Amino acid sequence: MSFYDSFIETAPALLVAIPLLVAFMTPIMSKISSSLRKVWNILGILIVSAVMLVLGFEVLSGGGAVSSVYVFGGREGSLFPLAGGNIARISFYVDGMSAFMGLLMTVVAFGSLIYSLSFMKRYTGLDKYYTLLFLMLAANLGMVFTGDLFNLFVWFEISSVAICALTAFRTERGESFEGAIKYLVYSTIAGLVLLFAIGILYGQYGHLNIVYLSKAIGGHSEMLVMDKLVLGILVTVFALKAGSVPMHMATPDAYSEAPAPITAMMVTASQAGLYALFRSVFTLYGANIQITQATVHTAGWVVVILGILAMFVGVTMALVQKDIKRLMAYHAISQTGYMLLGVGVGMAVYNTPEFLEFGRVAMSGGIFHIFNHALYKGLLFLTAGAIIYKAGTRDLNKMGGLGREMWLTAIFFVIGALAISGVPPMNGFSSKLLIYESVFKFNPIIGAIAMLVSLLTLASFVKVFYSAFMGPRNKEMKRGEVPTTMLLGMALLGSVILVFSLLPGLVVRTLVDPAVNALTGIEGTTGTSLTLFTGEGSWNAIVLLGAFAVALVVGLLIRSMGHKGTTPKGEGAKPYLFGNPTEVDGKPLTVTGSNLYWGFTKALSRYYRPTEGAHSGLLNEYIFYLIASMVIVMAVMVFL
Amino acid sequence: MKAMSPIVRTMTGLLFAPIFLFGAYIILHGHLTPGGGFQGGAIIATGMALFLVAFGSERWRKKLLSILESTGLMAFVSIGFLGIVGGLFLYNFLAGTGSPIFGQEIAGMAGYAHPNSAPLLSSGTVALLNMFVGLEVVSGLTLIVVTLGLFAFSGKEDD
Amino acid sequence: MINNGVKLLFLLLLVSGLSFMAWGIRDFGEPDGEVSMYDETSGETYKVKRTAMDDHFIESSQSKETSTNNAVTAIVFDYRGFDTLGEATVLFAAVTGVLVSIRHALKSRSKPKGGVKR
Repeated sequence: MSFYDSFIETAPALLVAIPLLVAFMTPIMSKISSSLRKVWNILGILIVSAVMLVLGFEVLSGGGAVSSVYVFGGREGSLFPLAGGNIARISFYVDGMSAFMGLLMTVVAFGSLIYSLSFMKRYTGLDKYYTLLFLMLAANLGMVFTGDLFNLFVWFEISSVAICALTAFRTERGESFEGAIKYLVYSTIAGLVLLFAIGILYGQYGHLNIVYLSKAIGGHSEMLVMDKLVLGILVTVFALKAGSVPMHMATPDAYSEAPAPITAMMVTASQAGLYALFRSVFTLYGANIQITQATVHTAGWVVVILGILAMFVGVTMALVQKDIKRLMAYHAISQTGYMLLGVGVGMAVYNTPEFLEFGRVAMSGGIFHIFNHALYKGLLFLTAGAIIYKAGTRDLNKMGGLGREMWLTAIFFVIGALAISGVPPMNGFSSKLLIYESVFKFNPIIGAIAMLVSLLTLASFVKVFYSAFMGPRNKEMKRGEVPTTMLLGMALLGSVILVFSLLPGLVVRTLVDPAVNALTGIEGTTGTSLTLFTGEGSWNAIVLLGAFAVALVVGLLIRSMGHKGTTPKGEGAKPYLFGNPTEVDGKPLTVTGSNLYWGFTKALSRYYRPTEGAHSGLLNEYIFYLIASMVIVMAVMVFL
Repeated sequence: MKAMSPIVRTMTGLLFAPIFLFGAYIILHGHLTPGGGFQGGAIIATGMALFLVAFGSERWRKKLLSILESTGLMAFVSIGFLGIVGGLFLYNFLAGTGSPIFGQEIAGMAGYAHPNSAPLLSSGTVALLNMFVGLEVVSGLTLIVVTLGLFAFSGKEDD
Repeated sequence: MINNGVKLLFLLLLVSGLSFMAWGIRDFGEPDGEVSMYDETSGETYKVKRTAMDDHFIESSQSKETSTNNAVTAIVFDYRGFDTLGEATVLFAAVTGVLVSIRHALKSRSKPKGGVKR
């Protein structure tokens, strides 16, 4: 075996072990000197990224089938097989979907770490910050590579503890402790119920390996009630980790209180939850699909409904937020709804003729959206951090005029905002197009809701852009652009977004199709090198950009023919905003962010009053929502 | 937290030795008898907590504790990496090799008079991992107790 | 505000669901129990001894594979050593979290807000 082969074979273990080693050694390094710690951390993330890139290339170019099974503690070339091909040790399975998620997590972690270098400079306790950051990365990667249910729970736990600790990092704010406690209680309850479900599976079948369990679940002539209940628990717990409504209550609190780079990484942690959800439905319950078909379809409908709730409640709650990071946290929830919706539609028609007609396209859209979301949400959280860094406040009503000096940040913000709103030709549009077209065939009403949510998303980002970058300057804010490493972190994510936007077909073919093949076991393609096929039509970003360029040239030509040199005089020289004088009593007249959509929220007050009331901040009510949704999902799984 | 009376301090000094010994026994014999690194580490950490109550929480070397904790885990991962040389990550490369470091074989259960007899230096990496986890648990739990002691008894919270 | 009775009702429903599962699983141990497995390539089911993994642990933990007299430790530190690494990491993360979240209280009194450098 050549060195390269053995490296590829060992890579999954290295990807978890190296971040752990980096995390364990960071406190020692920082006792020696802080610059040594910095070098050590940058070296660590570079090595992890390199290993992940090589592994991802190898797996994804191989079409996405399980490329390596890594058995921890095994002898070379021996998997310790027992009767029925089970493996009596913990094992990692790397296929297209895990490699896809792993790539995404390393890209975002890389950007966050580079950004942190100057963003976190003003805080003490940085050695612990970087330790926890690497623990989070290791937990994310472990969650997506593992092929063992208990091991999955262990990574779930590490991720929860690390997120909680990092949420409480800014100890000068009392709110951060509140967010951390909420997140901790929420994820601990979810984790304990998850452990219970895993224990039930172990007690029933005597094993923890996911492949073995999938065979055992499919081995009955019809599904056991117990297995259906376990699936209900798994769906609820992982939907909670992903932050879907109505189990999202702790998510905005934790997202908005954590430091910005950590929030970007928390998005990927929530997507590890999504991954676990898809994995448990498609792999754990999908081995003998003739038997489990009805249950998988029910789970698909549950996921679709959770997705619609998340999309709609997330975006409507985001519209009324005044805190920039809370607003973005609600958008994270709303975008998670798209992924749940896309893949949920795939689940709901799995193993039927409709799956080949539109279900697979919906799944491609949902999974493509995972990567897009991690990128643009990561970028948006980083820009929010930059805005807060300079503005010194998170209140949108108190900001303004930052665009003049922070024009680079403004550009990155616009890239992220256009992408999240699904404006062509950005990457968010490509994935949403796949979702719209396929979901419309599945159920036209749901498709219409998905498009409406996109509109509202754009509206709320217009509000942020207007409040933060435009308008008169607030005198108390710091001047100038943010430090270079912060810009570098944003530039990394922004450039990946641009590549994804221009070449959606290529990205779908190389990244998403292997992932969908690995999940469903059904070969198929959605994209060619330049064009993306949605099942009905096709989409090519370069053609659209060409048309834009032509229109721009024509417009400039027409403009150049116009009459030059008119300067307004007298009353015409005064700056006016929609017919009103821009200054009243010497003060600039502006509409603040929270007043921008006043009419909209007023008209929908019947919807807003109970919804905002539900986000009461009382932890025991939040736990009630969790328990109630768990009960309802379990009942639906059994009785429908 | 202030130190307590001489009676408590003397008794703690007397009690600490057997507690430490018992915990160390649980850790070091983890591969032979019930117990292991987590359990023994927790026992020693209770002794440390007793020390904290008796002698106060001011004069602990938290840096050293933190370094010891990291060292324990680092050694755990390093043994995992050493396993890659002979097999896969965390491969038990010492077990049954006859090497002087925990490499002795134990007599199998079949046809042996005492099924539970085993030499101390058996089990390969299991014993080593036990020790490192023990080190990590002792220093980690002590660090938590000391930190919380400092936090709870340092008078007012700074605001 | 939600009625406490409703909260209690849903809690009881959850507990009854979990209890239903706990009572429904097979008997503990069950030496001769079999699990029927689905073979994806042939589409047929075959039987596997349910305790196959446990038997493997009991039989080979004292053999050359781990040569550990205490089978429980052999499982914890060898067969499932990676989980143990994870659990130790949970403790490490918790310790780091405690140190992070109350670090301002451990600084000297001269720095009123220890969380941020002044």
